[in-house]
Amino acid sequence: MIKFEHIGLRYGIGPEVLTDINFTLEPGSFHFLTGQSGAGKTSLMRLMYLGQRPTRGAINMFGHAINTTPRAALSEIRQKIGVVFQDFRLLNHMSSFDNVALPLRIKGTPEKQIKKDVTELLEWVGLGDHMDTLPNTMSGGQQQRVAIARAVITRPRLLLADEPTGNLDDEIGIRLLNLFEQLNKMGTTTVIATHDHHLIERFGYPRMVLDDGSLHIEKHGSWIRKKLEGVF
Amino acid sequence: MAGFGKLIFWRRRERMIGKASRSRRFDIALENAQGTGFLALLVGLMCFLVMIAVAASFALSAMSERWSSGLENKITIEIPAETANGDPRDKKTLTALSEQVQAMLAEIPNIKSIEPLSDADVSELVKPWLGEDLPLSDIPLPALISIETHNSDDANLDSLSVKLKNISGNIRLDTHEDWLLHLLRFTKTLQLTTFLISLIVGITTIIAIAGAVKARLAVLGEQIELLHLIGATDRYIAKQFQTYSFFVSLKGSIIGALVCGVFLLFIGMLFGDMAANLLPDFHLSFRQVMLLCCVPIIISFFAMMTARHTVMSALGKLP
Ligand SMILES: Nc1ncnc2c1ncn2[C@@H]1O[C@H](COP(=O)(O)OP(=O)(O)OP(=O)(O)O)[C@@H](O)[C@H]1O
Ligand SMILES: [Mg+2]
Repeated sequence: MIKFEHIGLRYGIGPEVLTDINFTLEPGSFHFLTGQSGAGKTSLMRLMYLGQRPTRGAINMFGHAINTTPRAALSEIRQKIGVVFQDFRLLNHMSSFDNVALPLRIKGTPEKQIKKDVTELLEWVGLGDHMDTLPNTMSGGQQQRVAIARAVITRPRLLLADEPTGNLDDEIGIRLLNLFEQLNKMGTTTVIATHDHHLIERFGYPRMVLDDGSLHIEKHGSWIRKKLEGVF
Repeated sequence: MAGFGKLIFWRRRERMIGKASRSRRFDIALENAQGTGFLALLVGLMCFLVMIAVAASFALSAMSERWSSGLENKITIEIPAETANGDPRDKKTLTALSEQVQAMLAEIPNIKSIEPLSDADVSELVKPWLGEDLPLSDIPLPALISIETHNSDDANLDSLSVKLKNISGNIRLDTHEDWLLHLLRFTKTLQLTTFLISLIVGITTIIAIAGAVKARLAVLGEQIELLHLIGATDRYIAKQFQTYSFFVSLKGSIIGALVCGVFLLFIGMLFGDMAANLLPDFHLSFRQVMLLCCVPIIISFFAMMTARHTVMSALGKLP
């Protein structure tokens, strides 16, 4: 479903941030992406949401070899990916409702459907009273929830979330991870970049660990690992 | 009471702060960007200039049409009041010659009408040159015959002048062609000038709009990148700029057109009477008015396509 082969990335003439990344994500998988600050988590995600071309290597998304896919077709692939950006990237001139509605409008969903879906989701993330509010007058945590709602509103095939719980208290962080879990159960492949070991332990999904420009993927999550360790 | 009203006003304002208006037209903050008014003003001025040029061009073509209409097949035959040697011809001789010529003309099928000018007509014609007061009867006037042909190509004219030569050597054919050609060439040049002015103004407008769109692209780069990343096609993004440019230009050019209309009416009132004697009336036909009304729409359409082209080529640089 998602395949990275010998991917390298450098910014300008700087050193390689990512060197020889190889991995495959199966449909419906759930991973936490970890690594020290500056390890390249955001950079790897940028490659995955096609916001950046790798310096070398081949990426395959949903069966399309990205190197050879025509530009026009890339938009369609991007529409299948939901992204929670580390810095949210909300549009400050429009209401939170319109921000969340944006991916649906881009896809050409009828307004009636948009109204129903967006209202429902915003209420679910606890922003039912803030539909008309402009993002730059909201708190960091509220903005983050708008960003998450925008990423999941289309039920994407791939969800990439970069530190999605960074500004949230534990309770609401867990609530949002439950939302990601629900989406994942409906088939959305999920990658969540986080520093929060607490959260990783609690949910127990396998980790993708970035270290020194290369990536290591655990086969099993912490629960299964513990069980295996216990048995043997 | 007043204080209470003010309180309600403040409460409402308080609620409005941080709230988005429900009327959302663009995903990109195009309307909030600076310079929208400037762009509209610029397009308005351009529209004004183009419309003036187009109206002038219409007036010129009406003028040349009036001058040339029917003239190309009208010929004047002049029998001078003196012979080739300079001896004066008396009234009787002139009349006899004139009748002889008319009889000859009547035989030619190509001649549509023959109209000998009376002495009074001829006097009327020469009056502006000789003055009102001169006793015209004392001046030897030529005999003039105005004819209209079906076809005045060179072969016909040549055979006609040969036949006239046979009657008398110094009878002249005046085909109006020379001065008419000069006039037409002059008006054509003027029309070409107005066309060039419109063209230059048009190109300037396009460059200005492309510049304004590029400035917007730079300022709104982050929002555009976001739309791009969540799957908006180039066409979707370009459409926003297109719509924006179209409506800003339409607003500007309609104002320009209104000002131009007032200006043309004013010109008509100022110079209408004065020019009436010299020039054909400046009234525009319905079709021409419709064409003028199309100018703002055409300009807005060009603005739209310019925005589209500029945005599409800029978006091509995104990954
Ligand atoms: N746009 C860019 N231009 C140049 N260098 C960049 C750019 N983005 C990231 N880098 C560099 O790439 C490296 C990895 O950055 P990245 O943002 O991917 O790390 P990260 O793992 O997401 O860190 P954090 O946990 O702090 O978010 C850093 O050394 C950073 O300086
Ligand atoms: Mg990061």
